[in-house]
Amino acid sequence: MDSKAKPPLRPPEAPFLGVGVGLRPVHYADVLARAAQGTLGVDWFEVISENFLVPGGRPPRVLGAVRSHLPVVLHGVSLDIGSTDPLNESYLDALAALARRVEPAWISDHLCWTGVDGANLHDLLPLPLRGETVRHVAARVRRVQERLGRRIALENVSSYFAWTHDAMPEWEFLAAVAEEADCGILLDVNNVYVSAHNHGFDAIRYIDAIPPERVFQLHLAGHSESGSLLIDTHDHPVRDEVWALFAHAVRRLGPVSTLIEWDDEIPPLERLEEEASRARAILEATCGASNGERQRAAAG
Amino acid sequence: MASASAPRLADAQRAVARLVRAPEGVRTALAEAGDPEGASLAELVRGDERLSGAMRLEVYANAYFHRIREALEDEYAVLTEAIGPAAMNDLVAAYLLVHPPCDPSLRWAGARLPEFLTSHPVAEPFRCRWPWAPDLARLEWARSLAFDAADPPVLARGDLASIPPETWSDLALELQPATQLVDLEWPVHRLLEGRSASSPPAPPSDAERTAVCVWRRDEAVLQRALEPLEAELLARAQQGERFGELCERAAQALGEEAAAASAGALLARWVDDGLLARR
Repeated sequence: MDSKAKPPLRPPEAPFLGVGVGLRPVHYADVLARAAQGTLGVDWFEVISENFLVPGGRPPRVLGAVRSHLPVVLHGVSLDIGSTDPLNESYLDALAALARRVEPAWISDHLCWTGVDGANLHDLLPLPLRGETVRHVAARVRRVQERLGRRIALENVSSYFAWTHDAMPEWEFLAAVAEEADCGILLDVNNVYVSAHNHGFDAIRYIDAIPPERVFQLHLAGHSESGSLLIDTHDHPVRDEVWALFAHAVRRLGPVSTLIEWDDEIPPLERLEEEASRARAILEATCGASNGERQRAAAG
Repeated sequence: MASASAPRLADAQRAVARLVRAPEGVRTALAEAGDPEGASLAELVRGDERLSGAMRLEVYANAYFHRIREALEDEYAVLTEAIGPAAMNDLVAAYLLVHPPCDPSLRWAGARLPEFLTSHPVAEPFRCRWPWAPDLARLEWARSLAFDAADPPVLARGDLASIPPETWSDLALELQPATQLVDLEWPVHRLLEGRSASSPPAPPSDAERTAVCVWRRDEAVLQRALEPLEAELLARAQQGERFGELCERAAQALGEEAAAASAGALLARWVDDGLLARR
């Protein structure tokens, strides 16, 4: 970053936490042992909210133990913010209770719809990119934020189809929802890359249209090829093209908390830590984010 | 890009959801609806020179089925092994048509499989071929519920020691939320005992009524078959009968003299196993 350039404004409730990874059951024992020893090579964890909306047993116990060592972010997959069904009140109650217990750094979910008429497709489907969808989603986000007592961040999803009646590019849609709802953005760099390939748009243009003052967090993940489409499979290392896009994003956005996602064919924790190190090196080389800054930001 | 005739969002979502859930896939569903060229879909979903709208939507249709099938194969791992992955695939397809997932968490997608296998007419072919399958599904689901059930403090022997002797007959026992009694027609509990990768489960060949208790101690889900008297007393305790009433039932079965010792021994075992909660 040009040292004379003014740093971009950052969302006040989303300090730079450094580089984290998704907490997955296969790593629980390793994470707990290494957290106790102080030898974890990651700065924070993101957990899938729904996996911890259970009454008891191992998942909440592990989460509590991890949280006692490091910051945790709650990342949901079923808020269903774009559905035309009413918001799921019992889900929101459970999420609010989980947030009170975990005290996450922030809460995120996806800018998508996951079901209709009470049935859940358990997938992240794209929304029609139209003004009326912006208004529909933003009104629901505001209600969720009132309910949770905090702003949430919405993530751009990978998509494999587009709606015939789309009336704006996805980056405009994302920015418009965030503006109208006054919410944050979780910018998934891999999803930008995947969707850019699948729909034939310019990934750089997407990144450059994102308002930095709304970006809570970045996601990085691996993807796969399937015929002429790229699929967001989270079962590979981050691809070089996505690392390059990430470097572009942090040049523009400044130091943003970054997370490595790996959800299938999950390797040992050390491999995830290597990916985290690479992200950290890019953050440090690009915008000088240091461990000290990270700790001050987290403490503040 | 825009047009004035965009469908209502709810209608658009319903149409896409119906195609994503179609058991034979998007293109077959369109053809069956008399629209093999997908003209109706083109009003909703854009295709391009690389892929038609139907083929793009097919990505979601495939993911829907595979994601839920994988979740159910994990949830019902022994059932999957016992009937084989191809049959499990067919069972999940039939189940999803009747009980599509309705909970925000995929963890509950298989909640109604035991009920479906036990009594739904569509599941009749599965019941005929594998009559023990409903029992196995019920037992695996009970174990799944035990895994992340709430964990209030466990009743310990020390807690019992502080109870005045004159109040013992009035003692109400509370089972841990993880503790469940499963009545089996077929001895499928043996399929979950002593499992190893090298010895695939041998399904039961004969019915044999058995009561099994499932519970969790620390993080381990445990189970054991119960003798009839223990099964009855534990079920009665779960229904709220007092310890004195349990002793009376034991006396009816065993006679006065043996009953006191037997009821006491059972209570001690329940406490040592961690089946009970401290009130």
